[in-house]
Amino acid sequence: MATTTNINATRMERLRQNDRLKTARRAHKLLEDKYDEMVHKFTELIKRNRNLRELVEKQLQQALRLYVSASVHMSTNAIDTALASRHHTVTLNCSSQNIMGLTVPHIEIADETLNKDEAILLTTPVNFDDAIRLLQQLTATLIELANIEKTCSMLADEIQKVRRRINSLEYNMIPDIQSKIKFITMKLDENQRETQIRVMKIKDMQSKAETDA
Amino acid sequence: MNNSNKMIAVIGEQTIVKIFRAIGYDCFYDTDPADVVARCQELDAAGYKIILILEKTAAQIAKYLDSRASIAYPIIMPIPDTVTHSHYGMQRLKENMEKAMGIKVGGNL
Repeated sequence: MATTTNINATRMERLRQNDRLKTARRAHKLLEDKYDEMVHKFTELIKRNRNLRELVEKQLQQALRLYVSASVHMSTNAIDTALASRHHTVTLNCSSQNIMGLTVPHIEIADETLNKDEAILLTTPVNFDDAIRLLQQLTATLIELANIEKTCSMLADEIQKVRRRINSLEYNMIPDIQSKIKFITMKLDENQRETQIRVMKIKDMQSKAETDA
Repeated sequence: MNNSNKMIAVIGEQTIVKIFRAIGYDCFYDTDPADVVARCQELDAAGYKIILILEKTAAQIAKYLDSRASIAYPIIMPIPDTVTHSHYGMQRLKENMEKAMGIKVGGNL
């Protein structure tokens, strides 16, 4: 409901409220367009996110199972030595992307090197090596999943905010301004009618006085 | 550390996450929720870009993860472990879907 108690019922105020209404309607339309585009983008990304997560979960579980089964037959020292013998480095290139005014992270592999001590391979179980090989293959997918998952999460947050703004404009601000304009218009009309009646009354009284005289 | 690249970290039980050392990720063996949150903050300050947390542990710090949802870096992501696959990662994906669309999606997207 509009609060009409503090409104100055003047033509200037009505003009001001009309401008506000115009701006609010324009903002509402722009936000609706932004919302539609964001939802469209989100729908595309969330499908990719789901597929990637399923793939990563499946492969990661497989790799971790292989590792756990291999580590049962190895001592802690043997595991540490085997892990330390592999000098695998992944260099990431971190930047940001802009999606509908929202800055999201973008990470890609800049460089990936693998140096391993071949002698250690002779002492480690096959499962252990398979697990590491699987994880190495998974790195690129894991990074892509991290990118997409974060983008989806940030987009979902932003979509929620935009939807709240749209609802606030649609169900609160625009009806409020409209009722203010209506109130001012009615008040001005009422004033005009009052003035008209007053003039008619004065004219009537004048003509009556002239007739009596 | 030889394999350290200060970019990707893994947090979880030692018996499971240790293997990530072999592919150049830094491993931290915290399982207590308070320790994990403290570790995440520490890693954030150290400039890590991706933090992977085992699902079981991630589910316990859901509030912290929610508070980081709109912050770009670091990307904190739950990953499954070998024994208790709680589908927490998938659950978060559905929560995002619900947040964006306003409807709960149970089945396929």
